Amino acid sequence: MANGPLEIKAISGHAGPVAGRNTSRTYDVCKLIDVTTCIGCKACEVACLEWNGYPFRETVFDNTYQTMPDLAWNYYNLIRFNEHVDNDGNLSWLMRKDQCMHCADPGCLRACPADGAIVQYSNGIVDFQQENCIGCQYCVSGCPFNIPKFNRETKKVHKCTLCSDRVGAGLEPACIKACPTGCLHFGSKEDMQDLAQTRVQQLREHTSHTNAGVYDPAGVGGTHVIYVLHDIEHPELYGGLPKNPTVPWMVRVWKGPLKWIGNLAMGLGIIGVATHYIRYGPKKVEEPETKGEPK
Amino acid sequence: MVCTTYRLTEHYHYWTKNNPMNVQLVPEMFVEIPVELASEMGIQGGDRVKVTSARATYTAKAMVTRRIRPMTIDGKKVYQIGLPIHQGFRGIQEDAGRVPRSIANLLSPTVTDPNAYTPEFKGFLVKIEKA
Repeated sequence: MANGPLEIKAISGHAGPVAGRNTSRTYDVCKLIDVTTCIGCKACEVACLEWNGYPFRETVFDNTYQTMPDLAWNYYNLIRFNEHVDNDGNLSWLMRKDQCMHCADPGCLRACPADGAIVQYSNGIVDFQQENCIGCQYCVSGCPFNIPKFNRETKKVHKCTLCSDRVGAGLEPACIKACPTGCLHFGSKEDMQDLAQTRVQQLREHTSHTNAGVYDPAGVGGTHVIYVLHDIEHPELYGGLPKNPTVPWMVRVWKGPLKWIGNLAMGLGIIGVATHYIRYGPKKVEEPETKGEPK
Repeated sequence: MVCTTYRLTEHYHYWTKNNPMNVQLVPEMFVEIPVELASEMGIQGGDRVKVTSARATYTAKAMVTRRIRPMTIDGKKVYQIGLPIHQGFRGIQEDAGRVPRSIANLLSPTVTDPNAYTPEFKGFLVKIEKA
């Protein structure tokens, strides 16, 4: 990493581990969210707003602990609160940090027609470049997690950047730095998968959560934000996390076969026109027959 | 009716209601009411309720929840309600007139454990009604 970013190894007088230790641009980065240790304090929401420079907003009481019903273009990160009663009458209060999942096969990027509006970095971060965005919102329909949000005033789409600016400088994302319980982890994908598996083992062996599992959906090629869930069989309980997310078939057909069929049809059309020209030559406009002498 | 008071993770005592970021997370205080009690009294989430103890009254919006369950004590059904303490006299929302200036600690008894001096804020009797 001779030309890589400077990475801090030790910090004087600093409580806890060194922020961003072992992060590097050469790895696939990954955020691990252990929902079993989330206390719903929303420190990550505030950290996200502060780092991205978005204003605080007026919210209204809505019979829930959740800040708002849904994400917004200037609100990348939301804890979703859900009360769930299982068949035995046991109650669980589920909290899930909802943000962009940074899919390895991003539906937004596939659907986007604007050159350079969505980029995927080699470390796995999917980032929107607003200066190239044309505001068509195809990314919104391409996302299986319903994450990108449209700003009606600037006609641009925004979403979580996984703090690509911080990660590029060897730091961890702002939400991870703010988390007080250590439910958020950041590092290489391999490390996070190992950590997640260890935690799942722990949950299965020592708690009643025998269905615990890691949410890293294969339908979108795996994600760079992975969850440890109490119940991997029912991710939809956590505020609508899809069980088998895939890039919508419309986007796949349209950006896959349909694109090539369209190009082919256009090419064949040009060839057809050229062949016709060579074979029959230009169309001759016949002089209109004059009927009778003009008066 | 048994009432208990507690803090929220989003707020710190009475300080953070002057801070826009914390106020955005939890804009106003509420009374957490079990679903069973709410349906008995016809209270919907978001309705304003009045909690009265022998010492004072407190008004806030109702949050209907399954997290607080009715208890059966000595054969009687006893409900518990929960009150976050962070609402107070001044703050962003209070100053804007959006929330009432009622204080949870006026409801709770000024009684402490004689040994440890821990105040008894976790269980006291109240009456609840629609406001």
